[in-house]
Amino acid sequence: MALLQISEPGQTPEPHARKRAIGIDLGTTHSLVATVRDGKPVVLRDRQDRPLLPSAVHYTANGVDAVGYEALAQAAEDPHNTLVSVKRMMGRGLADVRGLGKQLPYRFVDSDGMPLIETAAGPKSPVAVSADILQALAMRARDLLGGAIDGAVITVPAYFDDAQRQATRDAARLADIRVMRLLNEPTAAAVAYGLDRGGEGVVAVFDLGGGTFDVSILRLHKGVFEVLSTGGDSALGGDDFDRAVAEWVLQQAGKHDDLSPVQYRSVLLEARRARECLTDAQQVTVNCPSLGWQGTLSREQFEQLVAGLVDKALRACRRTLRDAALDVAAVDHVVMVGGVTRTPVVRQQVQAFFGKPPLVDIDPDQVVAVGAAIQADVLVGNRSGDDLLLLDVLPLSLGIETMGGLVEKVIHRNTTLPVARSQEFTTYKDGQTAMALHVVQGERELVDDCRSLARFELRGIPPMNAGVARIRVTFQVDADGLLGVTAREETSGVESRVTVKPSYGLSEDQIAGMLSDSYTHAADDKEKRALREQQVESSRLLEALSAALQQDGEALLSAAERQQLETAMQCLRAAIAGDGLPLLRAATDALVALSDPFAARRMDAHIRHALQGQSLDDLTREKQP
Amino acid sequence: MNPAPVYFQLFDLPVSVDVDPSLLAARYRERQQAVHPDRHAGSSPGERLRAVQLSSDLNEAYQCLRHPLQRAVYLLSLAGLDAASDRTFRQDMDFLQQQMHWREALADASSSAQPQQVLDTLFAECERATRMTEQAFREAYGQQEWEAAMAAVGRWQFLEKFRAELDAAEERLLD
Repeated sequence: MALLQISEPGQTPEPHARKRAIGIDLGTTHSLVATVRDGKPVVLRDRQDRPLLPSAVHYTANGVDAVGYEALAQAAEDPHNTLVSVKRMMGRGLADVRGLGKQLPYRFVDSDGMPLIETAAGPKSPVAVSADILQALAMRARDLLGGAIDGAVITVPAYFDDAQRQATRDAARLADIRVMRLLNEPTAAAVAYGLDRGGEGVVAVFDLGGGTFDVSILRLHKGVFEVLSTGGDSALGGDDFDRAVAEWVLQQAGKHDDLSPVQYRSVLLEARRARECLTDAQQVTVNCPSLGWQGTLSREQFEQLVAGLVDKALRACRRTLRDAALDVAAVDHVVMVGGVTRTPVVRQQVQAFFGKPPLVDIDPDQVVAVGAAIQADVLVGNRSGDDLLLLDVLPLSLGIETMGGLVEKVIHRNTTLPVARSQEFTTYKDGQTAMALHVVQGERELVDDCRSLARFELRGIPPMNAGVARIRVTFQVDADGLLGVTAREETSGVESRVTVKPSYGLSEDQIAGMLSDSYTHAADDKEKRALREQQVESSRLLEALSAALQQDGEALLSAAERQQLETAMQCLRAAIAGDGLPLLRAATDALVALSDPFAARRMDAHIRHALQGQSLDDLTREKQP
Repeated sequence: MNPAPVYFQLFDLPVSVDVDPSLLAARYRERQQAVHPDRHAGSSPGERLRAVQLSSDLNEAYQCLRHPLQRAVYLLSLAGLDAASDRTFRQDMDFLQQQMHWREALADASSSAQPQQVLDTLFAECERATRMTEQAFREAYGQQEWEAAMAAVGRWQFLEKFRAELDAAEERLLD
């Protein structure tokens, strides 16, 4: 009989058992992928040794032609088919995207209120374009790490709402990447600096990216990163700096709205070059042959052009500090993230505001990916002995529509995640068996001023007289900031079925459709892919369960229970080896159901350990109404 | 029967008006280290679900206990009193008059010559009144004088709302 290897809890048994985990910064203008190698985070570079991948995809009639620099090179010549800045459209409706106006020279197609972009390869959703970018990054990681990726952490702006987060998760699913966690960009940056220095205290993260501005206030204590508040502006970024310069150019050149998309794009590119030059130079020559204009822009002029934008960012900092109930003097470190923070005027103003020089020693373009890689390494289980724990917050309040188009807030912004809140509703008609809930996200009083997230339909309410039913709806937001809704009629105990219609997201059917579209032989490959996905999922379950059994099987299960579980695991192993999807699903479901009590006992044991011997059942059962 | 003091139990703390904030924070972090879903990323779906629930419970209890007013409301609920929605207690006339005086001062602040000074005065008065109200609650709760405790929480709730209005007014002033 082979001897079982038992490792010290929190230690990796064997070097070869290390898993391949990556952190991905999916940015508006560029993206990166990083990993932890020999305990050190490293950004993975392409064959030309470049760390960044421009978030650009060029499409031709044959599909994806190029991603990254090669795609960007086509931007001036073929703007309609070179998609950039799609992150700005993630989880957005057509009406929002139209508001971006001439900034993005695309032809939009309406698909149920969702924007699709017309390209030579057919209409593309922002989610599908993001998936193409993610796939390029995952491929780079696979090549460099020498095998399949076990899990990824993808970063999102802290300010992203539920729809934008869900869209990001959908993109990863299309790209066949297993996302262990969505991580807020400022939190990732704090992790990159925090672990590096073993720091303690209050950190402000100032993240001015290509398209969004985020500011977060965190408290670090013994490896726990507790986000106190987060704020920012989801429509403020380097692109706006470029646009300010471009508008100045157009004014100087005496040109106005009659520009073609190609012309406007070339002016924007020149504006960006000018802004980047002014980081070191005192003045720069701006040359726009397409307008037949050339001129000089001084740093001083530039700083005047963007003064309003910098001010807007600092106002958001002040509000966020106030939300954290902290004075500016309480901030111990200021961390800079995003390429735009290289701009001298931004650094000066941030230093003046916080009264201390910001930390800039990790490249502001790379710091987010570095933090994501560290968190991915922890989550995949490569360094479970670490105390690193991230407690993030809900960025925008969640509410439900009430009479008269008003919003009743159910969970307030800056609430620590995960969080669950329940609300009771009743029926207003005799025999009513269904009801609808409209969930919105935002701070305003009126439904129309908030973002519509989804409409939930509760069905299967037992028929009763009006006002008698007590439907308890629970809103659960997980650590990713994603919302789930469950409902239950309290007097009868009947669970209501909840169906979700996302306002600006993809339905399950649409995702399935897109998955099959990405293959030439649709039907056949769709099946195969579904089978493969399920096989991976089921193997993961087996792996988790084997580890759990090895640890706690003896203590928490009777011999009979253990025997039962092991038989079910054997069945599942056989089903994985076969190629029947329905059988595999059935075997998986059976094992999940059978292992649930064991899972609950294990979790209770964990918390009991932390609670020093108190009975958990007493605590949770008698929870406050 | 009154409910068990679950929130205090979760952190192994005595049921009390006063909670040591750093001890509470330390216990909170320690417990989250054990149950947070990120600690169970590789576990079975059942364990992950349970982790989300337990971690949510901890967050709820922590938020409640670390805010003095929310803690007071919770303490009253343990005594079977609903301070969150029960508005039937009688306001004393002095406090009502004080409220009106403050609201007028706030409404006039924006048109005054020194709006920031007006706000600073109001901030200070609000802070002082809050401390006095907290003390009044502490005494009433200690003596189990529930009517007085409910009245104190009523005043406290007004002060907290007023404080938020002052914040908003200052925000507008600075923008």
